[in-house]
Amino acid sequence: MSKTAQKRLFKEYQQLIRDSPPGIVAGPANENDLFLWDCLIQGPPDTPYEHGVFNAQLRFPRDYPLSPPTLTFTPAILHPNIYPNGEVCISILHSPGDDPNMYELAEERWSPVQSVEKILLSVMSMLSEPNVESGANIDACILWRDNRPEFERQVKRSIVASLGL
Amino acid sequence: MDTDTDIRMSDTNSAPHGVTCRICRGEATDENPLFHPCKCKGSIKYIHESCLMEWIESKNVNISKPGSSLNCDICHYPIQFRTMYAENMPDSIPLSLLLQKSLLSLFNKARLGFTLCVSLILFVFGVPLTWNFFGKLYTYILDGELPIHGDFFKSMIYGYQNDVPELSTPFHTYLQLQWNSVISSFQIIIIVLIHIALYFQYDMIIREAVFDKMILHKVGSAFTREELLKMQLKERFPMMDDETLEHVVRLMHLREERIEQGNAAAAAAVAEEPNEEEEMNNEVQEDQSDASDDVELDPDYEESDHDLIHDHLDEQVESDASDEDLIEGQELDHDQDEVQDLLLDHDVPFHEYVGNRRAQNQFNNLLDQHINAMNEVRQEPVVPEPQPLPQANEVVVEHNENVPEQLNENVPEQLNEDVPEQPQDFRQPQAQRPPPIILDAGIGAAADDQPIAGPLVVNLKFKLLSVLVYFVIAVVSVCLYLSISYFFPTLIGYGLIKVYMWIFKVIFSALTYLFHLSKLDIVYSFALQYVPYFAVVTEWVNNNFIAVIIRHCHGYTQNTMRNKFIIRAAPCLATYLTAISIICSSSGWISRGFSRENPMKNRSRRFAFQVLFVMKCTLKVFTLFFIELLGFPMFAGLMLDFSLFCPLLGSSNQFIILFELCSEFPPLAFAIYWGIGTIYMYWFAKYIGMIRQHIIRPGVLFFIRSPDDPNIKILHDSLIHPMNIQLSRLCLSIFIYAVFIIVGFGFHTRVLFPMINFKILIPDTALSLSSHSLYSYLVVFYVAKNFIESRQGVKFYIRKYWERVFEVSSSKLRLSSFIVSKDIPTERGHIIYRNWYYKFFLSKNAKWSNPDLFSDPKTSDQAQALFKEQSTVHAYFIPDGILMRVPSSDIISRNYVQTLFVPVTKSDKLLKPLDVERIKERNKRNAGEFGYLDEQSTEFDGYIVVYTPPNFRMRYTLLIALVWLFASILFIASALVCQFSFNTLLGATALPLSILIFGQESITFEKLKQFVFTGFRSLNIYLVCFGGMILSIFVEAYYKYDLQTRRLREHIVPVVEEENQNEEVIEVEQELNQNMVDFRALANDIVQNFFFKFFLLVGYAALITLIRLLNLFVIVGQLCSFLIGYLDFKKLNLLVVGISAMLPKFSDYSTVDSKLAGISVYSIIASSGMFSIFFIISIFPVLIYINRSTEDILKELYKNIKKAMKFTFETSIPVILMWVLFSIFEYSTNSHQYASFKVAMRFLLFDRLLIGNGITWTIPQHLFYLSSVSYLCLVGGWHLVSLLMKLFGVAVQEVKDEVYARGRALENFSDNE
Repeated sequence: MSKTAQKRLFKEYQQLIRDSPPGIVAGPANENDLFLWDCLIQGPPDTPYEHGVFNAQLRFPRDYPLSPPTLTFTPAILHPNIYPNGEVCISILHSPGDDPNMYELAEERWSPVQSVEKILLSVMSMLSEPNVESGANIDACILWRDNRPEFERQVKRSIVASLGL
Repeated sequence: MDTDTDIRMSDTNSAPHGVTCRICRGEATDENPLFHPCKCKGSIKYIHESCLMEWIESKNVNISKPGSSLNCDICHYPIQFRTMYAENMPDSIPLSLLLQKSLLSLFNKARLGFTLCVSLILFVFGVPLTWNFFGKLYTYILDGELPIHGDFFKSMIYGYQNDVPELSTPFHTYLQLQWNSVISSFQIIIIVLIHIALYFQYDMIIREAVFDKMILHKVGSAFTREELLKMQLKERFPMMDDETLEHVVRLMHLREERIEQGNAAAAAAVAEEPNEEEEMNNEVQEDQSDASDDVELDPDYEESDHDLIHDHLDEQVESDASDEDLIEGQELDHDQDEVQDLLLDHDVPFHEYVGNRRAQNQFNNLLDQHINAMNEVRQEPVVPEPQPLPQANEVVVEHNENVPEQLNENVPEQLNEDVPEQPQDFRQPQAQRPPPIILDAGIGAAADDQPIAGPLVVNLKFKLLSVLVYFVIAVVSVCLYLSISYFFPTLIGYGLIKVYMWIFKVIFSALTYLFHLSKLDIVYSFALQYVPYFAVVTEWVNNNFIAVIIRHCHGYTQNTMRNKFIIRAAPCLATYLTAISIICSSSGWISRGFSRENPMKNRSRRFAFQVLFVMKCTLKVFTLFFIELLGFPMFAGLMLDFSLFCPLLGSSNQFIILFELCSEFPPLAFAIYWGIGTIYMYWFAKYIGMIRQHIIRPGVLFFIRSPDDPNIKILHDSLIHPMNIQLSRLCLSIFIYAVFIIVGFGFHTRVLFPMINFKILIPDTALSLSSHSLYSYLVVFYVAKNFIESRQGVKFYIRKYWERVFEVSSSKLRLSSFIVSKDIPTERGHIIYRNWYYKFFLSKNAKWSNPDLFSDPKTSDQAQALFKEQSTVHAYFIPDGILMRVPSSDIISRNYVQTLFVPVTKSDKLLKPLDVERIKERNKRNAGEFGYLDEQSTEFDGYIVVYTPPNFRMRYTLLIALVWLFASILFIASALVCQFSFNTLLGATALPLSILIFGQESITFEKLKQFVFTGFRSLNIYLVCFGGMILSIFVEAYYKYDLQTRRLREHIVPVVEEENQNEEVIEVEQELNQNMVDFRALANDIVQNFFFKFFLLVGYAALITLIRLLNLFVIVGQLCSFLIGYLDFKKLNLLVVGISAMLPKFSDYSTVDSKLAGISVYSIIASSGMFSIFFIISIFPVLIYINRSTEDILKELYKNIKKAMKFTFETSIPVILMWVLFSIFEYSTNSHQYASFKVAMRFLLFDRLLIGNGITWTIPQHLFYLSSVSYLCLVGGWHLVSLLMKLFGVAVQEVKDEVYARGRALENFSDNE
């Protein structure tokens, strides 16, 4: 099982090296462990996250690609769909059997057809368009909905802090 | 196998180079080729078989069986599989194997079918009949005699019915049994519904947070803080001895106090902090209460499983559900250790509520810290640990890793579903597992024991024997249930009624004694003589009330009024009422003397109190809900009947009419009342919502609940407010509704129209009103209502109308400031004139005579003086009225309202201080015992200051009257307009058409003419409804046009400013195009409309029903008449009679002779009952299409119709042709015997069979019957053979799959498939 996963991860890594989408850099954290990746995601333009570069960790399960990886921002960033501990909550990272309430369509959730590249692209689109309906960070949701300027100010501040300026 | 690999090789070759598997991203190899088994294209087209299998396996789907299928996740197309067969599979399956296998499966299916039939019969007829039997049996035992003397069997069947036939044939018995079972099923359903309602009520109540607080208020908490601490510690560290326990508790206590002191200081500094804590605590409480409920409910899950499978047990189960739950929950407590007790007990959530909660929290924190400390630095413990603890420490360290996992995963799982495969894992670590940290986890521990004591695995099997066993269980439970709920209560009731009668007698004689003693009889006779109408009134009361009561009492005591339901129910009712009053009072009696400060410690007493209290609350809430949800709408419906339907549809002499119309089945009237009342209330609420949202100022209607009010917690409110206050509130709103209906409608229908002899609004009563026409009225009305309601334009214009009405009437009444929040200075006072002449005739001149009329207000005295001084000024403005604080929102809390409606100055200062004491006093009086638990959201509390004129109440009442007036005008006018417009349309189109088609003298034309003319003279609901629908379409079109022109105007303005003429032209052109598009869109809308589709489906169903009935008519009719009439086959006769007896209108046929029975088949088939049955059968399968697009529906329907037509052309049409052919033959050979060709045709089909052997059969007659039937047999045989062939194919495939299948392989998707 883990051999399949390793093979696939290696392929995906190769693919990403060959042509990675703009604003995304990802690869295994070290040579020995293919199951832990470090990613750098650029904040999409025309959003509060513009000019920011965010570090995130992708942790793959042993039965990848049958189960989805988890993506954690280190450090956590303020966003309605990111838990205070940095974990990202988007439908593509949920395995099909996870959601008993059927909020998400089966097509939107994880399937082996998806890939690291797609996950990171989804995260970028999530950064530009938060989904407040299924929020992970309630405070951020409320702030985003009711007091957008304050939300943007806080995000900007954390970006500046993270860049060490 | 070779062929397989060949195919595979060719497949592999077909996969282009460089493509990868969508799962593993690997390329195709010789051992592992790539497939494209679904419709997916592009980079995800290909997949390895092994990868797909892995993925399928991880989804827990079994695909290995032939026939199973799986859809692709992405394209949702079934993934293509091919079954591989064993190499040794013969080309033709041996017959013996085939026979063996198919007989086996046939046998299994037959057995299943038989079992199904048996269980259906047993449970659909058997159980109701058992119910009926036991009900009657108990009644006779209670009576001590049979209603029909000496005939037990007959008594059981007919009971106390009036029309018992002298000689009961099996047929009559069968009919009676059918009727009995229908009645009993009805009873069973109602009783089950009541039990379910009660159970859910109970369940909701114990989940309600405030309920726990109420119990706490009544009897306090079960344990003190120290006890709780000790118990928890004991649970956590089982090997700790008592001494150490004491020690730790003391230590914790000390530490806690220290923290508390610190906290108190902090709390003084930060005022919010306690709130937060409270919130947190509340959360914790809620969690706990939820969890504890879950645990407690487990026994019920088991029972509900039972119910699902054989629901006839549920009366039994549910009748006791409310007790059983508690008892079982409590029994668990007794059996198991303290902690469970602590958790399952109702008090858990609020142990910490008052003084303990902070301690509780800190205790938990402390334990956490304690563990962390031990893990991290064992050398320097934060809490100095006594000696015996190290063991426990080790355990803690060992298992610390598991703890979070177990908390996160196991606990919820266990609570939600009792996982049967896990108990071993859990029981085994139970001994050494560290006790969980927080209370929630404690529940987890409690739940661990669940599988042991927990629910049985209900493993019901569907077998004949087990069905019988279930039936026996159902019978026994019916017997028990009836004995518990009917037999014993009645028995006890007999005694109770005797006692009550005796008490009543004593009181009554005492009263009469008092009556004479106080010389009231003299006053009475005096009043009788001198007070006018007194005698009439007393006589009326005597006749209508006292005499009835006396008659019933007499009937009861003499046992003469046995058939009366009320007499039968009286003893039972007496018992129930007594029991309820005992329950209600005893819970209060048990808890007397206990309170939060003085908690009840006795556990059994506590338990008894809780059971009684929950029963009391359930009954209270049930009563309230029952009144509100059922009684209220029914009452409204009754009032509507009185004031609207009866005078309009029936005669104005009657009071109500619906019961008369539903005389076939009186309970139906209640259902109709409920429906009508609900619709009325829905409309009323909608109207209120409309004016609240769009027209009037928010806060005017604060006394009517708004749907978005956060203070509406219905269950919560019904629990904590005292019963009498809630009842009086309900009665008040019922009264207001009744007054609105009776005055609002009744005034017109009962007083106004008859008085002014306004015939047109009173429908023609000559149209005899039957229940059928009532149903059609209801249906037409409902369709029209939905249709009109869904038009946006109609809504818009109605809203405009009401806006105008409110604007005008409130400005006339000087209420603009209050009602629509428009402060108009001229409304703030009145104008005083020189004299009445100026006031009434020259008011305008008088106003003009004073140039600063409004800018220079005067007082009344000043004005009088000025009139004398200045002769040219004839009017002065006198300000009056006051400013008042009123609610500024509809959703304010009840207590806040009490501080409003007080006069203030311009600068919002109170004129006189609020009488806070009185308000408090009143609140206290209204709130009752638990009032302080009521937490109302004060988020929206706020007031504004508005101007109110003098005589505010009168003006307000007048406003309501004006609204009523305008509503009447709207209703009557729109009804008239609808009627006239539709009637005119009908006259203008249908009359000329009918002249064209039928000619001027035809009956159709005359009838139509008459119809149109009566349409101008009296109201007709159909005309109004259809007119309304047509008008609403026009209104809608105008609305759209209006909207468009307005948009156009608004659009053009900026364009013109920019001086860009071209663009304007383009814009207009675009707009025109837009118009065209809009029309197309409108057409599309109509086609895709729900109603259009609905009518399409109804039309289809009617058509297909007609086709099917034609086929049935021809085929079955022909066969039956052949068998009965031609061959004189007597046995079938009975069957036909049996069938016809089931249809209500054909019960007369039970007496017909055999010949007629053959013919009656035709009448049965052609009857309306048969039509409706077939109609329902045909419409239900297609109703699911209603959400699809019209094209799809048409396609689907076309397919069905084509199939039906094909069948018709094969069977019915040839037979009909034969009939015509042989009729011609017969007529031509024996033309002298028939008056016309029609008679010949009729004779051949019907009359030939009716006439016995008197007339000899002619050759064409013989030929017709023989050939038609033989043709039908031929066609049937052919169909049968083809069906058999198909079945044979299926059977062969099944056997192949079962015996020779060797797994499945992927197959490439080919586009031509």
